[in-house]
Amino acid sequence: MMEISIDLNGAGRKVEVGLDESLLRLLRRLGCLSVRYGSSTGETGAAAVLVDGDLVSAEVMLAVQADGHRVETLESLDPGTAELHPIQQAFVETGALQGGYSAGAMVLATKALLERRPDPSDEEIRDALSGILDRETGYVKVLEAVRRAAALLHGEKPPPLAPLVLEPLTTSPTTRRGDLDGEESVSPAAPRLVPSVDVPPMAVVGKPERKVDALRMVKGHEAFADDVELRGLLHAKILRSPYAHARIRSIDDSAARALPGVHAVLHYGNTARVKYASGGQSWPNPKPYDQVSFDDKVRHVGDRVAAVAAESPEIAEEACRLLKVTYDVLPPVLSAKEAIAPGAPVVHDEPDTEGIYDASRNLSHHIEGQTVPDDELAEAFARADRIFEETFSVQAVQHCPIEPHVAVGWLDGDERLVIRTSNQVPFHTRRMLSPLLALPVKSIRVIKPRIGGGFGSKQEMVIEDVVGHLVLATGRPVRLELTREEEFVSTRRRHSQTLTFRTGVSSDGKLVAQDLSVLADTGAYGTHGFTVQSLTGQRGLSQYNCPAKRFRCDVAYTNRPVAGAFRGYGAPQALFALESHLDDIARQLGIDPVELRRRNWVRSGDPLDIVPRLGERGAVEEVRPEDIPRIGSCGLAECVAQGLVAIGWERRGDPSWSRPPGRPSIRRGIGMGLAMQGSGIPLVDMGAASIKMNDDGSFNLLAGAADIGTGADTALAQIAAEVLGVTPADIVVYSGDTDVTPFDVGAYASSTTYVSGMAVKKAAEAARERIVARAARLLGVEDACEIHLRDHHAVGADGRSISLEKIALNALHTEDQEQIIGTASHVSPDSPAPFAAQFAEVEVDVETGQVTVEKVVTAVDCGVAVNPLGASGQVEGAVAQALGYALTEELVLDDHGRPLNARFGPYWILRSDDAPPQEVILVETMEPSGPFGAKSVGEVAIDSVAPAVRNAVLDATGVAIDELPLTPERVWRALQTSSAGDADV
Amino acid sequence: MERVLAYARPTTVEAALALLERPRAIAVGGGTSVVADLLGGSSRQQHEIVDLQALGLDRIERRGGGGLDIGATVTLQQLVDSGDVPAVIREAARRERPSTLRNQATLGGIVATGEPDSELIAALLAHDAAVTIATKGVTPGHLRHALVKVLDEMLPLTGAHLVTTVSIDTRGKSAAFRTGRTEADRPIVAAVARVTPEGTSRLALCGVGDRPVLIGGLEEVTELEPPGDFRGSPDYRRALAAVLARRALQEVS
Repeated sequence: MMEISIDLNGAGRKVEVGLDESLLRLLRRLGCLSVRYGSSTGETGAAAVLVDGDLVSAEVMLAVQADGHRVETLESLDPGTAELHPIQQAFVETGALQGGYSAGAMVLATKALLERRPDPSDEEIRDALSGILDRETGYVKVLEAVRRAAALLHGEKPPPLAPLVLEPLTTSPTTRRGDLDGEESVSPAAPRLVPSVDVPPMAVVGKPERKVDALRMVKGHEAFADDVELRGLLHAKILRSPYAHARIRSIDDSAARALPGVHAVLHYGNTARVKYASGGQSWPNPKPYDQVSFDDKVRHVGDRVAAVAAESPEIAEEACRLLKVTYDVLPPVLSAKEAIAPGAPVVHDEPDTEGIYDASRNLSHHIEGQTVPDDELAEAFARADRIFEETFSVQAVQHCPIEPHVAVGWLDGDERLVIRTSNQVPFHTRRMLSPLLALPVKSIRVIKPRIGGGFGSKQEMVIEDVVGHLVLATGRPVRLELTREEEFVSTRRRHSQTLTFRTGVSSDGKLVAQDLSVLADTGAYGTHGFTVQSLTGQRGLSQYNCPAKRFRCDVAYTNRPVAGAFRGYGAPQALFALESHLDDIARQLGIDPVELRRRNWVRSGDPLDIVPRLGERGAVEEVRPEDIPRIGSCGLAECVAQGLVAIGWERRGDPSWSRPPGRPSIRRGIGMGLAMQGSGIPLVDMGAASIKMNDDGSFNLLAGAADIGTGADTALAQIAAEVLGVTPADIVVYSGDTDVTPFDVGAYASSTTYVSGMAVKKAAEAARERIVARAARLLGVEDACEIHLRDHHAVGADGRSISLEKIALNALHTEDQEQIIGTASHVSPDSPAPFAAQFAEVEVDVETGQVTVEKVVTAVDCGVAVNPLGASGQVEGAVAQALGYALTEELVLDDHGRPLNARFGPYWILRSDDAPPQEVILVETMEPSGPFGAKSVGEVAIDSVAPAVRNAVLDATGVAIDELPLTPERVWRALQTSSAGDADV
Repeated sequence: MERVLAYARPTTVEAALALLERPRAIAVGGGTSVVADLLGGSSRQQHEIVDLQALGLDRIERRGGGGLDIGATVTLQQLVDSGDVPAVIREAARRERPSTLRNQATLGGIVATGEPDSELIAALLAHDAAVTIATKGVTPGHLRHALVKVLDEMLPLTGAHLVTTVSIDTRGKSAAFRTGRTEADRPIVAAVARVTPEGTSRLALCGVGDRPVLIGGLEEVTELEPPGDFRGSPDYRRALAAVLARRALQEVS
């Protein structure tokens, strides 16, 4: 230990520090919760602080190095309760906060920049933020926040970031965007909005309200799972397998147990063997149940071997090292193709797993669905004028939430297990924990605080059972936080797939037959293997009409890290193949790719006939006409029209543009892709909410929904406020706590706004019913239906009104007393599709293969955007994530299954200084089954960026590349086979 | 097990060298590599930290004839901000690390690490960089080596050796070209060319070997034997080197 002196946020401090204590750990120990762990290499920037005014990473600085220096954290900016510093204000007003995990770092980076450069250029802003990775915003609104902060610090009063309204193009085709006044002055961070005449005027819904949890994030208050202090806390570490495939012959834990400070060592030898499936899905979880908390076999590098709880992370690590594990190393299978070949090593040879399709062939699942019998499909192909067949490959990518998986568990005063965890599915997790820990559900509480990004990786029970076991074993609070490498190899990833499309087309460009076959790699365990791949089939065979469709899929176990849910949930794979395939067909037929799509895309009323054949819970055996869902609201045509204008589609084919003068190796191109998703899983996803009225006319909204940084709590507050005639600030939201809030399936399948939002609307309506009944009595109005709630008042038809506060006081204290409260649940039989048209403009260096994306346009029909700023932020973040899928990201393993790039440098996610400009256009439609016309928006924008980029490369060079990511070498190699690789002389 | 057994912040090079004689001693400039390995790496070695921040090696000083002496603890951000530093080195320093690490990572640390894909080292090579290495008992000025030699023969530095200064020739015209997966990505290959006022060409590459290299000219690119990895195979790296070197040479010619 050593005593150091630091000036922390303006106050001199003398503190004892460990010599190997990081500045991050010291600052958190001193209560600076805004400084957060992202990786041990400092590469996420979540732990950035100012030392002597300079931005540094507290993760890679020892506390002793800070001795004698001035350290500033976000907490230094606090101007007082409920007050904001101008930089904080700018971040809140621009919608730059989603998960908010790195908000402290971003605000400090802005402060450091603006102190040096009060009027920074965009390039300087991008550079200043280059060390702070953001997986959620796409950086668009973060850059705007810095610009706005500069303006505020200059004393300017910039106008609110409001949507720019565009004229529709498909209903009045002569009106163009450029004809609208004032467009050029509008910030690129402001969404464009094409309104629908079907949407009635609303007071709160549709407005860019500030996030209800903004204060908590932007001021660095307690927010995330790790932001709690517990007396007697133990730290957990997991010993992970160094082998891709091995049987554990024995574990000698005597030395580990003897290490002072060690409180528990758990492994297969002392933990009950209870089979489960880790995917957070509705009961009963889809099979196979092929996991146990600790097994005597490891199936991928990074698989669990044992877990330790100790007085410090270092002791826990040391104990893991002292465990003597004897392995019988087995040959691994590292690709799906190898795995299903005869004689391949069997990944799951244990006798007690239920529900594997064919364990001996490493097939976790086999999925089939078709709209016509095989003979009719063959006839349809026979009738086709042309048949096209192509095979595409898509890679495994990781979610990369900046907040890693982290959970803290303890026994409460009633000796019930409480787990506070970064998790998207708290209710599912509670139910799944119960058998593993041999505790009744009633003895478990799961709390989901703020989440610093999930994207599907936290739609699983990845670490909570370990924490639960250790809490029960020790009786002490236990904390487990994964390292970044663990995050890469031991959480979840997107399924890699090989997809073959065979498509029959008539001479007039109509699709007459589609056959999609897929081989997918689920990794070591089958979680989500069935549902993700079923969605691949649905998405690959839904957005274009075709009379004969067939989907077949094998899902293979391999000794690779486990695949799971990931934003898009099977759609990005399917749509990379489908949208690339369509461009290639269009090219070979000599038809404009937009026109080919237009001749086939679905419209309102069209059947989604493959859907019941590939349902969430398996195919419907006999599909009746009424089982086939139909497209409801559909703004796809308008999305395409708007996107074409915004991207400047007409430049395609103009050689003066596509071959820029003076740059002989550069080719330019524009590509597109269409996408559709769902809004929850019909008749499966359920949300519930409860709303109670307070003395002052405000409300507490208790929602089971899980806001994982998406802004869901804000959208739900807006929906409630719209019903109750108040502002979102009058709705105090608490969500995702199994003890306190009603049930909800959690954050997945794009269900929150659509399903949970409708539950909130119904609950608010129930509360409103009580309010207006009482208001009618107080106003002496006979018919309560004449009463409307607006501006915090109940207003009668004659204009007389009474405040909600008076109504609340009357109800709670005065007369015929009652707690005004509404509770409701919602399950939808529908899953209305959001649509997107996505466009990319690229430059390709034909000598090096480097692809540079210059701009991405996404026009999206998400129904009514409850919060346009939040919705466009969701789109921008999804696009940035999808660009990584298109260009850089791939979890690479060596021949032994060991990761080669399990850190952010080699595994490259987009930074602020290489994220391209984006334009987001919200095309409004009125979805009758959604709350105030809303559909979903969280996933659809990740789906077709990759094919848009790929098709833009095709447009630029004439080279079709059917494998992701489009790395420079892959593009270069493709160019070598054509004359397109020659630079102009 | 504590990973840091002792911490010292010497104020003279001599004192630092004395500390670095100890078998577990390790020099820490900014710490972006050492501390990351120490706290997050798999190595269980215990170290005695010799923190270089108080040595006064954080200055950039002009010499006559276009020379520039850059102290070993000058941070990458100082390089970026210095008007005395050639533009190609400033830009390479900016690219070397993102904003959060640039105020910590030092030039001495970058040189001592010798990362194979360091465009900054390639830029230093093109500017005829020489490295002064202090060794206990020897006058520091007597141990000035060409950076090429340091990279080829002296890394990793162990024991009582300390990079104190990196000297460059700022004269002439230089240019750099690179290819990565994105604009901001570490280069798969980068080429830096420079023409001195006397008309001599320098051509440096990174991403083509274990360390950045200085080569005699474009014709030597075909003789390179780059290692391959998932970002670029040997063939591809060689092809890139040829293209980027040609572009860099054209730019400065």
